[in-house]
Amino acid sequence: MADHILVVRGVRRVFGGVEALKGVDLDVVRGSVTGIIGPNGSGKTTLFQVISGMDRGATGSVMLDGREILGCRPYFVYQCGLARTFQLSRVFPQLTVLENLIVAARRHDRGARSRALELLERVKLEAYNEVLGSDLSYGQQRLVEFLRVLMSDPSVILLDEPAAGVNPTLRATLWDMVRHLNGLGTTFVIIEHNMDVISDLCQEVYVLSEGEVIARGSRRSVATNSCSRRISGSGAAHERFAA
Amino acid sequence: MALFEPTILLQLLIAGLLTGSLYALLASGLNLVFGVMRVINIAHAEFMLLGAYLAWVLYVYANVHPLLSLFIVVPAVFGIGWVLERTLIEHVVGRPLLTSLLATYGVSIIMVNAGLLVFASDFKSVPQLQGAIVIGELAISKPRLVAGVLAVILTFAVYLFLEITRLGKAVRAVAEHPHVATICGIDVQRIRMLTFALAVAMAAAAGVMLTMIYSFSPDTGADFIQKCFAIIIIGGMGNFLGAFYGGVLLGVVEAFVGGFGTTQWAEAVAYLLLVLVLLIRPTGLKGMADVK
Amino acid sequence: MLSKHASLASAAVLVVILAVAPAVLGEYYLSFLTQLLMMVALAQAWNTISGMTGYVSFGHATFFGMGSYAAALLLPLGVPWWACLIAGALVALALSVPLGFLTLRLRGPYFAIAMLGLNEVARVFVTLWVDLTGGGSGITLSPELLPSLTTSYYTMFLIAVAATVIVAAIYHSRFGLELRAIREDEGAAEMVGVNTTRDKLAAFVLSALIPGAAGAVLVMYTSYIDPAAAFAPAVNIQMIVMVMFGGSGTVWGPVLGAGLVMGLREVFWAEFPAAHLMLLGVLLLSVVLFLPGGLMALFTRRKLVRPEVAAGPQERPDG
Repeated sequence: MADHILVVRGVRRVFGGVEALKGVDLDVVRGSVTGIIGPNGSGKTTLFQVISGMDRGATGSVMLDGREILGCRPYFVYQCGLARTFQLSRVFPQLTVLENLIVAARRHDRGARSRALELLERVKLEAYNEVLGSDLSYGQQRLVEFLRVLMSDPSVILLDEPAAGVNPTLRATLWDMVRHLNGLGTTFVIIEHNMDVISDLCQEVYVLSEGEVIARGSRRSVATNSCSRRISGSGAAHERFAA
Repeated sequence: MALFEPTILLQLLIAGLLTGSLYALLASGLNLVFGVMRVINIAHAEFMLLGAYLAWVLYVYANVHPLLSLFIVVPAVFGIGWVLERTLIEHVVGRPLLTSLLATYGVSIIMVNAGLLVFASDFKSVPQLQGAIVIGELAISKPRLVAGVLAVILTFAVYLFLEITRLGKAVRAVAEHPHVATICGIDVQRIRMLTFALAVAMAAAAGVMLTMIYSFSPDTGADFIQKCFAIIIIGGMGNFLGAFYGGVLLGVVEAFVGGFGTTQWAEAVAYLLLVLVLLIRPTGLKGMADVK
Repeated sequence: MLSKHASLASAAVLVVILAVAPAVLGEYYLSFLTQLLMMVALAQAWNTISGMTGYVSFGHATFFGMGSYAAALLLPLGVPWWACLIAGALVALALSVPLGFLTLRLRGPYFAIAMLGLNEVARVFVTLWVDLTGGGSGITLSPELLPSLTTSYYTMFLIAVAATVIVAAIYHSRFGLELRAIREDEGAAEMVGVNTTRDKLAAFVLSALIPGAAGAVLVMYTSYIDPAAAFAPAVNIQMIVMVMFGGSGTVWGPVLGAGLVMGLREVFWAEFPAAHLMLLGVLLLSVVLFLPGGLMALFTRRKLVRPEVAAGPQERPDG
C-alpha cells in the first residue's frame, strides 16, 4: 500500500447550477510528481483552488498527511505544508524580490533572509534582490513566485501551469528546481499542457474532463488511453509520450 | 394602538414608496456608473445638490417653477458631467477601486465646500406645489406625489433607453466587457462620458424635485450618499434595476421606522441596513463576487 | 529612500526642537503646535490601517470623537487627566475590536463604504443619548479640571512620537511586510501563509487607539465638546489628505503631510474654513491623479536599474 500524502475524495463544486467538479478523487503518493492534464474548463484550476483553501465552497474531503484541510483558510493550509502557485503570476508588485520571498517564510524563521538569498542565487536572480516585483519580466515573476512558496519548505507543492509564458532558459531552470526538490522528497502536483514535461517528470497522471477524472495511471497507461489521446491533442507529443 | 390602523399603515406605505422612488432615481445612476466604469462615485449626491441649488437659483432669481427648471437643470448638469468625465474621471477608470474612491472623495470635498462658500450653510427650499391631496382619510403630499411619480417615470425611461436603443445596448456592452466592446467598434470612452453624464443628470433631476420636499444645505449630500450605498448594496452593485428595488425598499423601511420610532432613527436605518446586508452577504445581496 | 542615518538624525533634531518649544514659544504658537502634533498622530493612525493595508477608512474620526467624549465624561467625575487619556484609548479599543471583526471581512471597497457612514451614525447616537452626553448642546468642562496648555502640548507630543514610532516599527517588521503584502494582493498573501484577518484586525485596532487618546487630549485643551465638533467630517478629510499628500504607507509621509497642510492652513486659510477644505479637496484629487506615492515618492529613488547579470534572463514572456 503506497504512502499517500494528499488524498482527495469526492470533491464537488457547483457554481450557480454548473457543476465544475463532479466528485473528484485524487491519491498523491508521498515524494511523487503527479500530473493533471485536461482541456480548458475541465476543472483543473478549480480543483487547486479547493485544495489550497482559496475556494471554500466545495464539499467532499481533502486530507493532507491524514488531516482534513477542506474548508480551512489558505494561510492555514500553507502552514500545514501545502503551497501553490497561480496560473497567472501574482508577485507582490510593490515589494522587492527579497521581500516577496521573506513574507512567505514561516513567521519565526530567523534564517528567512539567508534562505531567500540562497534560493535567488540558485536561479541566478541574486542581482535582483532589491528590484520591485513589478519591474521583473513576466518569466522572472513566475520564477520568483515559485521560489516564494519554497520559503516555508512545504511538503506538497501545487503548480498551475508554471511554465506558461516563461522563456526556454527560465523554463529549464524551473524544471531543474522541481527535479532537484523532488529528489529531496518534496511532492509535486502539476497542471501542465506540455506532454513532454508530463512524460519526463510525472510518475502518475490524472486526466480531468468536465469536472471528472476520466483516466488515471502511470504516464504510459494514460498515454495509450483513448480519452487522453483525444485530449492531449498534439500527435507528435503523443507519439513521443507513448514510445 | 392607533398606529396600527390600516389607514395609517397605508399612509406610511405610500409615503415610503414615493420617497423610495426618489432614492431609486438617485441610486440607479450611481449603480450605472459603477456597472459601466467600475468607479464608485462618492460625489454622486453632490450632483443631486448641484441640481437642487440650480433649481433654487432659478426659482429665486427668475421665478422659474422647479418642474419647469428640470428642462434647464438636467441638460446643464448632463453637460457638466460630460466634461468632468472627460477631464477627471476618465483618469481613474481602470485603476484600483480605492483610487477612484479617493479621487471622487476629493471631488465631493470640493463641491461641498464650494457650495458652502457660495450659498453658506443655511437651509434652502423651494416652497412650490405645497399642500396635500386628501382621499378619504388618506393625505398625500402633493410635491411628494409629483416627485415620486416623475422619479419612477425617469428611472424607467433610462431603463428603456438601456434596454431598447442601440446606444443603450452599447452602454450595456461596455459594462459587460469593455475590451470586447472596443473590438466591436464601440467608442468606449464616449460611452463612459455618456454614462457618467446620464448618471449625474439623473441625480440632478432628483435634486430639483428634492427642493420642493426637503430643505437642504451643502452638507445634505452626506446623508444621501449613505442611503445610496445602502441601496446599491441591497440591490446588487452594478445592477440598474436592483438599485430601483433597493431604493423603494429603503424608502418604505424608513417611513415605517420614522412612523413608529423617531425620525432621527429613520436616518440611521440606511446605515444599519447596509451593515446588516454586508454581514449576511459580504458581497451584497445580489453582489458581484469579483470586486477587489 | 532617505538613508537610515539621515532620517534618524532629522528625527532627533525634530524631537529636540519640539521638546524645547514650550520654553521659547508664546501661547498662540504652542497651541498651533499642539494641533499640528495632533494631526501628525491622526495621520499616522490612518496610515497604519489605510496606508499599510490599502483598506481606506473614511470613518476614523469616529474613534477620535469617542475618545473626546470619554474624557469629557470622566474628567468631571474627578478622574485624573492621564487616566482619561487611557480611557479614551480604551473606548476606541472597545469599539474597534467588534467593528473591525465585522467590517474587515469585507474586501476594500465594501470596507470603505461601511466606514463612510460610521461617523454620521456615531454623531446621531451621541446626539440622541441626551442623558449621558448632553445631546447637541455638548459638554463644557470647568477650567480647574484641565491640565495646563504645556501639559497638553507635551502629551500630544508624546502621542505623536508614539504613533510615528509605532508606524516605523511596523514598517520595518515582519508584521509590516505582511500588511504591505495584503495591500498588494490579499489572496496571494493569504496563500503564502499570511493570516490576513488577524493582521488586518491588529492594524485596525492599533490605528483606533491613537485617535482615541488624541481625542481625549483635545477635549482637555479646548474644554468643550459637542457632537458636531467631535465627529466633524473635516477631521476625516484632513487625516486622509495629509497622508496621501505626504505619502501613504511610508513612515515620514504623514509627518511631512501634516506639517505642510497645517502650515499652509496657518499662513493662508485660517479665516476661511470652507476655502481651506475646498483646497484640501483639490490637493487630494491632484495627488491621487498625478502623484499617487505622495511627496515621499519624490525623495525615493526607485531602484529601476536592471542589473547586468551575465546569465540574467531578460526576455519578456515568449508564450
